[in-house]
Parts: sequence; structure tokens; C-alpha cells
Amino acid sequence: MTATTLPADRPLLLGGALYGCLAYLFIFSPVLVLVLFSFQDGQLPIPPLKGLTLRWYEQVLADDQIMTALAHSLLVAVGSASVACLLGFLAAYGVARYRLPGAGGLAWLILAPATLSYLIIAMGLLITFGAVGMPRSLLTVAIGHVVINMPIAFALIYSQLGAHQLNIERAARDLGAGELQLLALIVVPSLLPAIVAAFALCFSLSWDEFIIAFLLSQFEVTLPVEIWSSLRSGLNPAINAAGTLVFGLSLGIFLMALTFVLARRGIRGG
Amino acid sequence: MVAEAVRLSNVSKQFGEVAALRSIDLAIEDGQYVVLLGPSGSGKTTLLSILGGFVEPSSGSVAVHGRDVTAIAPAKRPTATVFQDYALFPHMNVASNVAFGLRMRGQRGGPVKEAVARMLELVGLADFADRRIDQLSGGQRQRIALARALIIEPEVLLLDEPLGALDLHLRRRMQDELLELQRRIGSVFVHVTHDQEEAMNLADLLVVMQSGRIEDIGPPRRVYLRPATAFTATFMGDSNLLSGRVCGGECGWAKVETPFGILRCRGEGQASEGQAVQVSLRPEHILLRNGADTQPMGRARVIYAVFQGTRSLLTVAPLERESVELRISGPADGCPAPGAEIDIYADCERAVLLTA
Repeated sequence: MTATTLPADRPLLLGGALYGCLAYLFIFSPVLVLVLFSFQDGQLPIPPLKGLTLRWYEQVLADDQIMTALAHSLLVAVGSASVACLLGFLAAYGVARYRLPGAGGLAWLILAPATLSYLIIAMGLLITFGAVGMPRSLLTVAIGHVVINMPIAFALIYSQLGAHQLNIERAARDLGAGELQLLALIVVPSLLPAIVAAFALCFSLSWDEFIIAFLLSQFEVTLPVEIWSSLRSGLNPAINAAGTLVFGLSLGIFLMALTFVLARRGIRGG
Repeated sequence: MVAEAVRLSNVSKQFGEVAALRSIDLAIEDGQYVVLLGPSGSGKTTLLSILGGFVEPSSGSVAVHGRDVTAIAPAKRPTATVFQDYALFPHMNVASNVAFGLRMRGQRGGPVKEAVARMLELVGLADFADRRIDQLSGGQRQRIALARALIIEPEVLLLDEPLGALDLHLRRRMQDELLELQRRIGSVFVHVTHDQEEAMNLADLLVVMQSGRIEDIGPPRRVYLRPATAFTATFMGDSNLLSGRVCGGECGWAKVETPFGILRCRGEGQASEGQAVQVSLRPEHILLRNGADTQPMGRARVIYAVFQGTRSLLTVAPLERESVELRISGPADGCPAPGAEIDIYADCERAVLLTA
């Protein structure tokens, strides 16, 4: 595809730039405020800014409860994203490559959880886990995150399994690759950009997720739940510092995935 | 005696309600460059897929050098395929792509490296071993796809519209290269295309297909000059089809009564007297002046004249029946203008009697 650009008038250009600035300000000002007041040299994360300090970070990093919650969050995010990608990949490959009865309905069924609210999913899981006598824990939270993220991984990977990818697989078979060699040497490596993108997305969605993590956890909680419970005791720059760390890690994962996908961009087809 | 390389016997393929191929019989000799030519939906790609083992025929059998391969998977067949979109492995460099077939056969190390270098040399890309696939142009990808398929020394190389994505200039050059490569290696190439010019340039054996059937099969010269069916006559180049009725025959000539009078054409005995037939006359076989073996077709008025470089293409209507239009090839210079009235003559030696 080639993009065609139309010449723009100067007033239109200026107006567009102004609009763009406002839009970005609207989106990012909460984050900026959060980050800025995590450095507040005072007891409250509200204006005026009294000076800059790193002592809230020191406090957060020394806080066992927050650090434990952060470790839990990492565990849940890595675990659930891995399982969601594995299941999503297997489902996508199966639906795309094998003639299954009702394949269209099957794909719809796999995607369906993406249309439900997290609250509904969390309540459904809560009842189910209660019925089978499974206590609430990080495992139940991770299962909840697999439920919400698997459709996303499925959709992302499925979209890359079109005619060109099919011919790539045919070519490998034609040249003598067995099923396992095909998966290990061709299918997974050639789909790696999509799989990495899916993993990064699932990771950040799980890392940030609150409702399911709140309803399905009990004694061991994830970072968003821990932050929420600290909020109940009032505003505090330490919470901003914790929030900044959460945001920073999401951003890091996103940038890493972006770099990886961009580095391999254009390799497929085109 | 040349050995038989490929034999398809009574091959049919049904996709649900749709018959993609209807009892195809095809024999290919060793060393032939075969072109499957047909419009989209004619079954030519399905036929190629059946040869490659990607599609299983609903009935019939496929044999390569006498061995029945109908039930054999693509990996185990003595065939290799060059795909229309090249299907190069995007995560591997050029050398790994080319080496893939040998690696899958358990070969490692020096011999593989040498074979890869030899193949890259063969396709003229010796310096490209370390390139990534996205650093290659369309023509280079095409050559790498060829090298990757040829490294396993297939007895039959299958090419699915391999030049479809290239521009005209590059397409012509790749045609020459493909032909030279095939002559050098000597294995059978089966090439699918819908481009009749490409087909004529390449084919030793031309297979014209339509609606899942083989319409005509033979050397391009024969198929062009003496097409077996009306479809072949019009798909392989342009042709005027005149309906008529056989009204006699003598000394190898058949006489056919047509709207342009009685025309003589080759093919006595092909049709019985009184049978409805068609006479195919290519634009270059209708002449503007009388000659050795010509026959007058009456007077006609020029409707259009299109300059085509080396020739002009005239559309004319006979004065006596304005509803019929004929396409005639005229000279580039001094071509009659629209509105002009001319006498036209059929080149009897080139007129083809068609019963189907």
C-alpha cells in the first residue's frame, strides 16, 4: 500500500498540530501527574510541588508487602501470558490448518470471552472455583487472566496464518520437513513477531488488571490490588511511586516488543 | 526412445459440487518443458497441486518414471514446487533457505555448503548467501525459490505462475533464464500460466485447459496453427470463427459453406457431409490481396483500424452482412482507413476446420 498525502493549508496544519497536542495532553496528563508527584518532597501527592525527592521510591522498594505483590504480579503476568499464547497459538493453528466441523463457529466461540466484561468473567470464575472447591489464590487469578487474554493471542496469531504462510508451510513440507520439524523450524520462527506481540500485549493486560485479580485472590495479592488497598488509607506519594514503577514496566515491555517486531518488519512477504 | 517421465491417468478432482478436473490423461516425456495454459478456474493449478501431492485426486493415478505416487506425500515425491508467492522462509537468510531441502534429508556441513554455493551460482546470485529475504527484489526472490527447489534434484519441477508478480521486462528475461536452466539440468519442468505469449516462448509441450478439461495438447506451433477446438483457437491468440456446414471434400480439402461463400480448408474426412462445423481464421490469415492459395471472401467495410506497431488490426464488416465482424491483420503503413471498402481473401492453407 502506498499512502497518498494531500498538501495541507497552513491554518489547517496549525489547527491540526494544536488539536494533536491537546489530544496527547488529555491522554498523558494523568500519567505525567502521577509520575511527577511520585517525586513530591512532601506528605501529599497534590500541588504545589514542594521539591523533588527519591525517598518514596526508597520506601516502596523497601516495602516488603509491595515488593511481594510486585513479584506476584510478575509471576501471574509471565505465567498467564505464556499459557494464553501457547493455547492461542495451538487454537489458531488448528482452526486455520485443519478442516474442522464448524470451524467458523469455533473461532467465534474462542473469541467470545473478549466481548464479556471482566466483572462478569470474574464472577463466573468465582462461582465455578467455589463449586469445585478450589481456593482463591494466584493460580485462580492467573487462570482468569488466561481466560481474558487467550482470545487476544488467538486473534493476533490467527491473522498471520493466511495464504502466504500456508505456502511457506507447504514449501517446507515439499522439501521434506516432518510435522515436528515444520513446527519447530518454520511455523514458530516465522510467526515469532506475532507471538512476541501477543505475549507483550497479554503480559501488560495481566500486569495492569484489577477486577479479576481482586475478586479471585485472597491472601496473596497482585500489585494493582495492593495499591488499591493502600489507597484506602489515603493519598500518599509512595503510591504514586509504586504506580510509576507499574507504568514503567508496562512501557518497557511495550518498547521491547515494538523494537523486536520492527526489527523483523518487512521480512514476511512484502 | 525417450522415456516417459510423468503419466496422469484418468485424474478427476471434485471440490464439493464443483468438478475442478474431469478425467485428465497426460503423458510427459523426459526433458520436456511443459506449460499448462488456461484461464483462471480452468483447473491448471489444481492439476499442478495434484502432481506436487498437495491435493489428492478424487480418482485416477499419478506416476513419475513408472512409480505410482498418487498416495505419496509431497515430501517423499520426486517433485519440488516453486510457489507463486515464492514462499521463502522469512526468518532464514538466503543460504539457509536454499539449504533447507538438504538439511531435511539429514545432510550437514561441507557438502551442503558446496551444494548451496553451486545452486546460487546456477541462478546467478553467488554473492547473496548471507542476505536476508527482505533485502531481495522480486526477481531475486524468484531465483532463490528456484535454487531452493532445485537443490534436492527433483525429477519434476513444478512452477505455479512463477513470473506472475514480475514486470513485463523482467518476466521476459526470467523466461529465457528458466528455459536455459531447464535445458542445462534436463529435468521436466511443469509451468502453469495464463499468459499465452509466455506459454509459446517456453513450451515443448503445451497443454491448453478449460473447465477442468484438456482442450488441446501438443507443440505450441501445432496448437497455434492447427488448434483442436474453438476455445484453443480463440484463447491461444485471436481468431475469427465462421459457422458453416460441410458441403463436400476432395484431395485432403474439405469444402465448407459459410456466410462468406464456400471456403476450402484442410481436414477432409474430419467431418461428414452436411455436418455443422466452424472454420477458424486467424487475423493474419485473412489477406487483403489475392495470392497463391487464397479464396475471395467478398467485399467488406473497415469499421476500426488500430495501429499496433509492426501491424495494424482492422475490424471489418462484410457489405452483404453487416452484423458479422471480422478481425484482420493489416500492414502498419498504408493501412485502409475506417469507412474504406476492401476485398478480403482467406488463406485456405491456414484455415482450420473445427468440429468441436
